[in-house]
Amino acid sequence: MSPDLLKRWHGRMGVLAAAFVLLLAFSGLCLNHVSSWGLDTKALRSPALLGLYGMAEVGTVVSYPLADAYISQSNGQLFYQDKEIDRCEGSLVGALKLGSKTTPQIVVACEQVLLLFSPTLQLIEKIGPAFGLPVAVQRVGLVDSELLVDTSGGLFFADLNALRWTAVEERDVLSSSQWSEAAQAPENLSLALAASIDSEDITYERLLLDIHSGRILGEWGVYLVDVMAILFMLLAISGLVVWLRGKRA
Amino acid sequence: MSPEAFLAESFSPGQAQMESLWLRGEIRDSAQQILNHAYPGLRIRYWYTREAGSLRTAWIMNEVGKTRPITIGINIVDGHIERVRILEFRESRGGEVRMDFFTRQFVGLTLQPPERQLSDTIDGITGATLSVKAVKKAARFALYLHQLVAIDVP
Repeated sequence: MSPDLLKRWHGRMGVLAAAFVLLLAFSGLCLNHVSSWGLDTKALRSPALLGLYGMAEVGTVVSYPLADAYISQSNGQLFYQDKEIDRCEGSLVGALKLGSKTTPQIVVACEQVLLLFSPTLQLIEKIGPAFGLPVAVQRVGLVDSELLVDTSGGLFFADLNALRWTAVEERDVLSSSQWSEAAQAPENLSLALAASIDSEDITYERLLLDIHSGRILGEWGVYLVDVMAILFMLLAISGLVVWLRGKRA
Repeated sequence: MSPEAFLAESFSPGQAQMESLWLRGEIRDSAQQILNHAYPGLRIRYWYTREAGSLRTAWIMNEVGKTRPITIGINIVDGHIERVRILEFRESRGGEVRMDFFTRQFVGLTLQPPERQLSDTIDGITGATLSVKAVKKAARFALYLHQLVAIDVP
């Protein structure tokens, strides 16, 4: 190839690669400092960016009444009214008040864990299968102030302080049991919760990684970055050849 | 490793009793000092045996490494760590803390006053700094709790 032709092609490839070099350099620079700049914990909020991950649609809100308030689940998070209180493992399946007037407690039941709260909604503890909880929990109720847990493995009376699970026959309790039933929360509360975003999922670090690798554009984005990588190699080689020829001349 | 397997490894079959410890007042303040954040719960469960004057306890707790909780099992005998096991690791990076070469560094360590630090240094792992910190904090917290219950357990 003649020196002029090589220079021309080197120039054209350089112009084509310039925007990608800038994009990759910028995203790489940010990735090097994700922790110190807080990009690994900051969640995406923009609907346009979330739309790239198929998360622009509002989530489903499930609510259970608790006295004159609601315990709700939206996008994996648990809320008391509109205040985030914890996360659910599995779906929210019930919420109720337990105990006497002197030691009341609140139980929030998810499929894989029971969350025990104080009346002021301070978490006391999470009780999961490691503590003997039979799963999957399908609903919770009360029989004469005793907690009844309906699971895929049967019905159990639960003593959450002693962590005792006593199997019980369905016919013995169903007539006297009061189950926690899902209910429609007020519309303004449901709308506010539906717009909540799970802060643990899509962070700016993830967005930067996907931009850097091309995955933000799906499978073809990865191929595009591959092509650019080959272009950068050709640029380096052609640049070196042009420089060597110029030096010899 | 499941919690059941960890407890089976820590105690003879059918020997361990489960008890709960309420974290209030000064205990919460100490937890905050050790963990650098409030313990997310008012009550913690533990398992113990007391044989020939020797107190053996086991603690299962969650501590966040970077963004996700790591479930850690810690077994203590008379104030010395006997074993540390990572029961569940949910982070995308730093999973090396599950390996034996890391967890065996904790064996035999005690809690040193007044700063409640471990009695020996733990070698870090490149790229797993936050997970290493989380396991160290959990170990210090379990040793502290063991000291508390050592006074009360008959």
